[in-house]
Amino acid sequence: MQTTSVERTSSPPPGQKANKPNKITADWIISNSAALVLAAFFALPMLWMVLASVDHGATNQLKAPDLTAEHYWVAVQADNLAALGNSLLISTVATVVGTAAAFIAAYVFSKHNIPFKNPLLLTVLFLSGVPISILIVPVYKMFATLGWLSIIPTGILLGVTAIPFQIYQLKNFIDAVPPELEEAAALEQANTFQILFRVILPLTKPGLASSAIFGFVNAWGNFLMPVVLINSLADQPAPVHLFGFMGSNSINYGVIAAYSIVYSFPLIVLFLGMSRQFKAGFSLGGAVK
Amino acid sequence: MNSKHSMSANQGPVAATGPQVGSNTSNQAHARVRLDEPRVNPISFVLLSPAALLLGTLFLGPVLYAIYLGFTNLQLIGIHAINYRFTGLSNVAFLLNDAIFYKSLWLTVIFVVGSGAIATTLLGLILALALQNCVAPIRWIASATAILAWTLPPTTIAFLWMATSTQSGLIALLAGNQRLDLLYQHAMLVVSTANAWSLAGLAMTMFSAALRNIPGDLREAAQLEGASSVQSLRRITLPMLKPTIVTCALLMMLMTFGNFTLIYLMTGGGPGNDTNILPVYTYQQGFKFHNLGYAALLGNVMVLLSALLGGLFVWASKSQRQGEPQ
Amino acid sequence: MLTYRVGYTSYATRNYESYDCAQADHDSSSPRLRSNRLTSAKAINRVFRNYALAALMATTVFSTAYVDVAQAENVKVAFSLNWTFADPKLAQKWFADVKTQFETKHPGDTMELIPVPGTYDDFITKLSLLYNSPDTKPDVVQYFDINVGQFAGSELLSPLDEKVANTPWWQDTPDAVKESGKYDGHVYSVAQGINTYGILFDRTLTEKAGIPKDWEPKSWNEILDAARAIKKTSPDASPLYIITGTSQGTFGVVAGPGLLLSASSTPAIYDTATKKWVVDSKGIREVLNFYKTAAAEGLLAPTSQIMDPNGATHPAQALHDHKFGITFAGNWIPVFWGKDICAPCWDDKEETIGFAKVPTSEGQTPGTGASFNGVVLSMSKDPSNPDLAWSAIDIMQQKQNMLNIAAWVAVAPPTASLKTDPNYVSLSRPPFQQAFAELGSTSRSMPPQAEFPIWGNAFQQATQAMVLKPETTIDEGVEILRSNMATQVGEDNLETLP
Repeated sequence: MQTTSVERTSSPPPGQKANKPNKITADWIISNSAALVLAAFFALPMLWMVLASVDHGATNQLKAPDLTAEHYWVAVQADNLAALGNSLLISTVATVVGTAAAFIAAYVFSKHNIPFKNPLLLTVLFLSGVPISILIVPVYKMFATLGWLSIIPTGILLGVTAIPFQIYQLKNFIDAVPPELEEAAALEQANTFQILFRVILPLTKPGLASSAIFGFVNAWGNFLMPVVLINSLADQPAPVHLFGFMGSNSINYGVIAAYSIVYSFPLIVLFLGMSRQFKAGFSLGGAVK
Repeated sequence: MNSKHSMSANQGPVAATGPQVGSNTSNQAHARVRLDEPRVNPISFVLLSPAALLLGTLFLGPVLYAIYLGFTNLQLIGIHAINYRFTGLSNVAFLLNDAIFYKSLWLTVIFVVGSGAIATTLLGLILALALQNCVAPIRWIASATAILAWTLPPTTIAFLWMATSTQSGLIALLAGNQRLDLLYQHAMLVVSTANAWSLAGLAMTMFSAALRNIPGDLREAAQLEGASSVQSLRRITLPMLKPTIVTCALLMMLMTFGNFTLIYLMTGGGPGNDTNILPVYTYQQGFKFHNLGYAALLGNVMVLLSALLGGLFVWASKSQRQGEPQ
Repeated sequence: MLTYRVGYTSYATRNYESYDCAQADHDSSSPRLRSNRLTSAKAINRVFRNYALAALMATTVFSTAYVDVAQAENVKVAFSLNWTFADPKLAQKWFADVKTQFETKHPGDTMELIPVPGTYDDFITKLSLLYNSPDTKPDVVQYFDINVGQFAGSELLSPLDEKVANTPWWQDTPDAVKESGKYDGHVYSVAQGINTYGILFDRTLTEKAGIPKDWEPKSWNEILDAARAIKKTSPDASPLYIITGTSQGTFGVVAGPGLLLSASSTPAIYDTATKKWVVDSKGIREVLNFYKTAAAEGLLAPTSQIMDPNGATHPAQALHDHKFGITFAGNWIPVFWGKDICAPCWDDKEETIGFAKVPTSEGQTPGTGASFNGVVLSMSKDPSNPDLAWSAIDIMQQKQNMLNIAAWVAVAPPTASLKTDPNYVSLSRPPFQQAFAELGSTSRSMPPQAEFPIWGNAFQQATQAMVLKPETTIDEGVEILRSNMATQVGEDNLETLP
């Protein structure tokens, strides 16, 4: 459920092999066949899904498709798009709330002196490891009592569940900002907010981007929270809608495949499109380094 | 006043988690930065307050609230839906006699360790190692699809693997037996594989990065001395990767532990209770059998488990920092 | 934007309560709400309480602002989008028709439709969630009788005894069907139709196996023998199809293990005399043994089909494709082949598919047995306007709407007159419609107690284990049922029947 952003290099480790001739040795054969098997392991299920989404008579069998775009046409019907819109709303709320709060908190943890810092950071670390499904009962009870069983509070909640990890992630980026810059700004009478937004923020944009993506992905993929915490059925996001397709009387593989692809597409674009940003840095779990 | 609240909100569980987490870990780096600035700036609390308030009310608060709810007879619907009360240890007594709970606990361990710590880490490691010496097209397809698999949302993964592992799906096709129905015959194996499938891309990137940090001359020296590649893997590469392996295994365990959606959508915890891991069982007790109080108690057990995992994580990274020159 | 819309209606509804009770004083108007909050406020810390007060104040402000909106009334109707009807489109069409009729009859008032997606148990969970918040609580729900006890026992439904007393369609309903919707002696639901269960067999396969054209099995062993013969003569087909498994939810109990149990030596599930749940009996052992034998000999259809959440509808396609020999099927299967639903269309189904009643386990009297379940309507406790909600139910129970339910769900009509109505009977040529409808008078409903879903789940687990691991002994199967029930409802409430 929890996702982590990582430096993404689709190009492999450049290290040793460039200068090595590709001799056909036992090693080479083993490596290549292992990689081939693994490539098939990862690629074939996806290949099936892509083919099924354009196959008129789609089943769960892998076969050459009888080409059609009808499933995509169904997938972009109004109510299906509305579900995607709900997902977008939830994820945007979650991203903005989570990233903003985490950013300024990370700044304090990184650059300021506060009492009980280590216990506080440990608490945050602890929270980042708690599976969020345990929140479902108390939060449900709380939202039901307060009349909050709707889309915006759910978005905020999902944003909050990402905060602990985001704090660690952002703290690493802010740690990397040299203290001299801050000191220089302080000498020029800049106040804390000015330092935060004029000095720290511009220098940690890649960090903010990866943190925001983490928040977005975390909310976009969540299934359990919306299904329980959003009472109105018209406000359900795409994963719940997708689940409705799967639970219906007869599974229509073509439509589900097409809708899955449409639903997954933003994440793929986000990840791959932003992969360069990530090179600026990643550290696992923040806690390790 | 916000900050005061936030402080108290944040301190609560520290006491609870303190013992197993160990003492001052993660922040030697900071101590250094801050030596020149001992003063506590009140503005710090203002800046901390949004996160503290949000975490306090929507994360820590509910976790604490759940501790209480775990000792009540709260129901989703029914006579105890509104008029619920503290029932002392009766939920705990129930828990201790609940055979499904024990089974669920055991399945959770199998899933988290087997699929998360072992399968995913191994898969990522093999992938990263194999990709080192492999021709470009295969390398490209394998790494791109592994990473793509990791980016897919859980609902999509569940659908993908459901289609793949049921009758006449991909696995049946490859096994040459159209009637093979792996999802129902070996449900735990299938969901574990699906979980490893979805996380291995992350493990791979971690190992690839670590492999790049191994100095090339080390291996060349070994080669000159006539070491076979198996030897150099065992003597050089794996020892150098050891810290990454530990970190990766722990991280994968944490991420696997939280994986409710995949199992719930693929099997709903079935057949029977064969894949009923704790997160699914909690949902089932709370929202299918309507015992919210008992579900909260099951959630508390999960918090304890995750604190244990988190403690391991901190301990591992600490001992790593002490033992490693890098 | 959607949120605002929802918020708006809910405030209007809530406001109506206040309009009824105490027009002047909005704050005291929702004592129930406030007491809810106070009870739980004891439990939660001060922060939460502050929020609660803020929310309450916001509500009051809204109530004040929208006083005159409360003129138009709204009836909220919740139903399962994917489950009850054969196709979600038919569900939407049927309820859209009802909405039009309702709004024509009550100009100015509205009917709000709440279609719930997902499997049957997801639907029931979502209903429970909707009931937990006054904003989203439906006024009328369409679901199955097997869950009436659960909701009625939770005090979420209105008793309808007075309402139905003078209603013609109720008087025309047979007692067995009336009983299935009762809880604790009161009417909490009215039936729209019933599902009955029998045996369908594919003559292209049975004839090859030497089974007569109008086969009438006399015992379960005869069914197994026939399946064995089919396995020999048509190795590619699945000789026997009967569902089980927890993923089908409570509904699946009636159509699978519960169906067999109803025809066994001891059909009792709940002993009304002792008020205990039956967890071991000759009948239960017979059912476990039937699944075990069928699975061990490889007679059953693939597990991914019999344990699929939609297992109960698979036969429609599979029988058409000649993949199943003998099928324990619901009344809806033949209707699926008809022109309205076409899943798939099949013209010579009456010639190809034979019908037989389910025999008793050893051929003991009465010779045949089966279960049934009803599609029912219930009215929530404290609906926004009881008369209007009842009017909505009454409209849904009118002849044409009922006939459409019979055709689209598909069910056998509950009332005596509709059962023989040419519109119903002509949904398929003989024998199907008539035969399935007649089963209603000899079939048993599931017990109305609130704990039935728990018993059903446990029995599904036991029978499922028999299929997945046929080496499981009958004693172990019984133990699965017993231990599950012991944990959930307590050892004291269980009993063993001979």
